[in-house]
Amino acid sequence: MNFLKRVFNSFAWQFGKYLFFVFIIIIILLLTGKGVFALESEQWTDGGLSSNITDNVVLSSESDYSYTDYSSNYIRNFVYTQINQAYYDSTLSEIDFYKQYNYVVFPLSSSTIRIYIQDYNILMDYQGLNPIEGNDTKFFFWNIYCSNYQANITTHYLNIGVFYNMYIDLNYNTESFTWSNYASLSNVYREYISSYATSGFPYSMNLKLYDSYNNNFAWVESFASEWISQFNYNFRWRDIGQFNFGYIYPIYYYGLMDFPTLSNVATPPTDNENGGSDSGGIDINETNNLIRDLIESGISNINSVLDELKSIKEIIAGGFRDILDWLNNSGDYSGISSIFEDFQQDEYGLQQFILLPLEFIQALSTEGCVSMSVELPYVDKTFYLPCMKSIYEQHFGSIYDMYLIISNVVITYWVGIKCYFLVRELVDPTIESIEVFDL
Amino acid sequence: MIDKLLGLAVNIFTLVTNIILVPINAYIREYLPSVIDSIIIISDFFVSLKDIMVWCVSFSGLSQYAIDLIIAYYIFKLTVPHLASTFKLVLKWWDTLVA
Repeated sequence: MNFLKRVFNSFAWQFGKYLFFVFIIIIILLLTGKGVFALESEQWTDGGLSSNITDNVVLSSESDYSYTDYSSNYIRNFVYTQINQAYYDSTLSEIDFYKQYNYVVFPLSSSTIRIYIQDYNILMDYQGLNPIEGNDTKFFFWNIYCSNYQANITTHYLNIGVFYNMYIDLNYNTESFTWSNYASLSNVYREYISSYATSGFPYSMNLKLYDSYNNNFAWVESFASEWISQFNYNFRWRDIGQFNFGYIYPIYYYGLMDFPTLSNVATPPTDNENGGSDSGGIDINETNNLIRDLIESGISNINSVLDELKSIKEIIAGGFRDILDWLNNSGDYSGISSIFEDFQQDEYGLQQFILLPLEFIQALSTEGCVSMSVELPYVDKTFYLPCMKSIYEQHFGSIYDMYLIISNVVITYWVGIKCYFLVRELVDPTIESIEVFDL
Repeated sequence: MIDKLLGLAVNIFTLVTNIILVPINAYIREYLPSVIDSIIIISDFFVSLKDIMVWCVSFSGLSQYAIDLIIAYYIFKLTVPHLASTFKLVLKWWDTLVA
């Protein structure tokens, strides 16, 4: 009884109560997306690609990778060809044809893209400099966070394609929401070879686009200038080696290209607006009639889109996604790993014994999720233990997310309590003992 | 700044360790070359143990934030009390000398 009384009267219990209430308040704010915990504009977003990225983490063969090209020439040739086919095919109406696709882009001119989104049945014009056209040079810069490191592999291959991630603000009566989708800039991938892969550190990769109208890309290694603004560019990637990349950091845009601006949201186009003169025989009037029908039906469906976006399920999912983004981005925190940046040791001699604790801490702070393979003696077999984090994320999903959140809170609370008592002893002039190591 | 100081301490510790072990290594290399293999085998064994421990930590599924926090705590615990104790000792000496 006295023990319980001491526990309830202890500082840890009192302090823990306050921490618990603060934690509950933070969880409520995160779930409702209020206040500073909304994290919508400050955090990078992947434009809805997170699920695809997570899926791609575990892909190992090229055939598993599904990729759809929506680049300019492809759309110009393929979509218009399909329009003509649908036009002459009595068994498939044009609307049904469009509804086969979640997302279709019409490159009307060098400065206008017409977008049809099947999921929301919305059609709109996206006016501005088309990022996938033009001869000016465009620079991109991004970091890749490596979550898996295998010491025996010195060469890694990573193919990257660049996507243009667009954010569209829709206004309906007094309500508004932001919808985002992505389009491919190119189906050209770059093979990235790294011989100095170390997990925990982001890779800096640079891209220079020129004459992208013909889908010609030049990749540059050196990049020495400051980026002017973070812009909504993302890229999809796939791993063709045994090297798993866990997270993708925002791509920074640098260059002379103007930012596209949205105009004519859900506005029926006129016959004179059509710029697809090189469409190869497409009937302009029929196309505009089709577009007008789609817009009218799209406006009627905006309410349902708003209801869907405002559903509590999305809010909760967004709140947890913010937490996980913050947890994942905490890998960018270099306070611990920077201590061991210059830590080196010889492979020979007795240093290995003495410096092993340092090496262990360095590995913990830099390598993150690791896989391990051990050559078993006498049986000539390899015992392989994979990186479990990607497996957890793949098979346990939200349960693992909850585990991450709870474990972080518990560890933070534990460290806070221990630090408090440590500091309280330090500031007490009567206590001179040094707690060296009580692991 | 604190990161740099701790990094400096790590490098100084590594440097001092190497300086101390240089003559021992040279002696082994000169007169007991066959011992090198056994040292390397034992060293590899400990490295394997280290790899297993790192994998076990990753098996726990903890986020990098949590691992960094634990490491930061122990770095704090093993460094700051020494500084505080040294400061207290200096103050104690000062009081003794002044008194």
